Amino acid sequence: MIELPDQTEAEVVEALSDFLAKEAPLARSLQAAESAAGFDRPLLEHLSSLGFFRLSSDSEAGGLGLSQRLVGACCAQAGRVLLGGPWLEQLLAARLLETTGAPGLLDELRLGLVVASLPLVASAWRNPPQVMVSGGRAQFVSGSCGLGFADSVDAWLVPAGNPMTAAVAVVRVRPEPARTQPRRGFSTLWREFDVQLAGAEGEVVAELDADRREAHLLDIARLLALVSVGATAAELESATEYAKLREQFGRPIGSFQALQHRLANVFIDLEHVKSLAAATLDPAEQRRLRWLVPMAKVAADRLAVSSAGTALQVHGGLGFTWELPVHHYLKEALRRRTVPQQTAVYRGQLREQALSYNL
Amino acid sequence: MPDTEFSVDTFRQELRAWLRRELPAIWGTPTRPVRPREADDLEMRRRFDRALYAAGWAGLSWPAAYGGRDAPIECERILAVAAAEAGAPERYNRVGLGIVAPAIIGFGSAAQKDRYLRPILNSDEIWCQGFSEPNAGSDLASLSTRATLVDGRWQITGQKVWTTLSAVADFCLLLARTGEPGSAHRGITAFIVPMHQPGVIVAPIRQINDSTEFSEVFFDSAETVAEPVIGAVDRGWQLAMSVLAYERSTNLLNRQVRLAMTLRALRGAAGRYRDSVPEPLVDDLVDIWIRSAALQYAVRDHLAEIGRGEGPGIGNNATKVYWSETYQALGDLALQMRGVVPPEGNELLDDEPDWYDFFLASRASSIYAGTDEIQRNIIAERGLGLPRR
Repeated sequence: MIELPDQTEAEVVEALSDFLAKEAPLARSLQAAESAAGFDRPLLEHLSSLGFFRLSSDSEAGGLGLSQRLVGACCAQAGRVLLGGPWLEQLLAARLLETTGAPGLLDELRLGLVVASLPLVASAWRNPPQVMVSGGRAQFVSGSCGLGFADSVDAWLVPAGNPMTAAVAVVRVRPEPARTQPRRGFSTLWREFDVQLAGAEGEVVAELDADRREAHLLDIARLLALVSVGATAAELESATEYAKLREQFGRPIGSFQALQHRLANVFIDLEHVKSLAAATLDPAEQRRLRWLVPMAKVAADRLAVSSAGTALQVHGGLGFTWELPVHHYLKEALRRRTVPQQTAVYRGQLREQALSYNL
Repeated sequence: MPDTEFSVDTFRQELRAWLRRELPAIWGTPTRPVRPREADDLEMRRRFDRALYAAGWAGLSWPAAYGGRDAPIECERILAVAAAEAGAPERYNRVGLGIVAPAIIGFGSAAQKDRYLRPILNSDEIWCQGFSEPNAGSDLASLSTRATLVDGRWQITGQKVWTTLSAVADFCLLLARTGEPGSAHRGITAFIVPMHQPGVIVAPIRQINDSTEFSEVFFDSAETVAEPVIGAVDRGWQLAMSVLAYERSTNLLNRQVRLAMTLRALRGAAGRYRDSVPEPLVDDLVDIWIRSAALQYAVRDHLAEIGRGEGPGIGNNATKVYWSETYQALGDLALQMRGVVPPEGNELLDDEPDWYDFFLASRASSIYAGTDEIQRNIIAERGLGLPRR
């Protein structure tokens, strides 16, 4: 699929899009979600072999040297098909370790030799459970966290407070089924567990100061915003195609202005949210991330939820059934809206920022 | 200026220094005049156009052969942002620059290019655009202003409306029917018509904001210039659609930049009197701020598309709607903000711009340049491929 250096970045995205459409259609992710592991591990390994988890890093450091913008575009492609499994966790872990971590685990993550999960919610990183650290080994005194696919990944990467350094230690813990308890949620594609950590031991693979921790949380948010952008594009496409085919009153329902304008409104919003979300990965915008990322997250989440609602409406009664995947787009959009922080929290930050412009 | 190779970095630096140096003369006062009268504002704009031309920056991304600099399109963005931030007035000859010049560059003869382009760049000749008619608004292709050949010269008879700058314009780029009455878009031709002649009467329209920027224009056997047809007879529709798309993208740049500047002023005022501002208004402010940022990056992406030779695409139609809705929301919020801040805050809010005028003027934005409903029709049909009725 990825044949550098002959391909342009646009071609890489197109190739990934083709690959995902063929190898990872939503139907297959849903099937994998029913399996014991809850995701398609060979697919994740295949993505690793194509370089999905090392797109943007330096070629000297084993990466493909592509742009950050391209990483965003690839996340949007994954969002289009609602790619299942801990792919985002894996990608985030690799991006986190690129700047801070031990090279050994990083290589294993990139190559798909180790599949890892980490918490996506901000509170897990800002108020982590405490550990005792000695000689690179850490032991959790108490605490718990939420982890996707905790019962089927190879490694848990758990943030922990190191009382000696005030930094957040990322501790690699070997998964133990006895520590996991499934969490209730309505996502079919993403399994979440409560993980009890008291007494668990592991090795410290990275240390994050406060700035680095916040940068990581912004990274989670902006990649999720791009996933929402891709999901919205897919919702718009499927609703549009349906409106062209479905006939009532002797003509395609998509010829009625009431529906045309509804779909056009999604198109209009998407055109802008897409550019806003993509900008969060622009090197030139890095000093604005503190408010740019919340903006992108708020706008992309809101659009993903509202456009899923539009798609549901355009599909009529069928949209309300398991016959069509529309409902998965709605449910996943609602889930993304809660991580790493509720949209309302970002809105609160933006209020503060909006009022702090000095004349 | 010599037409040497263009350096973006040098340009950016020179531009900022130039603006600092030249603006007082352009304003006619040491600092930016607050809420100038309409006539003074127009004069200020004209001085700005001329100063830009003298500095060699009037047609940055135009071909050098027509007085431009062949600069990357990104430079237009840098110019728009730097000018707005420094408090420069808007461009005067904006119809000439945004609509007429692209029409002549894209469809005109060599002689027309030689004759008309430079005077557009330096604002020696002001242009207006005669497209809309009382009975041909959204349905532009039904226009009925007639062009007839009299002794080998084209003459124009009919009425145009919403004609921006017509009161001061020297020429009009006018769409007239040359085909049979029912020939719709197949029988329309683009003409150059001089405005200063007995056969042309301009009647200003008093708008809701008391401005008379738009007028009605009556043509009664009006004469045309020596080589009056741009492109071919009966082929004016393609020209109109092409230049409107281009205008949408370049105008949107200026509109987006102005909107961002105005929003900053409102944020500043809201921040200073934050204790008086109820939370729902702060929420509105956040929404508009997000939309303004999204507009900024979308316009940047659209321009990059044009720079790659790919545009202007359907995204510009989307941005026209998104911008007009944001503009109107901002005007509405500003009026509400006036109602909640203390009197001294109103002074601050009133400083710049005039929010009443800003709000009222914003109401036109969803109507002109193709109503928002027409844009949605275009998006549905061309962007999404939905069937026509």
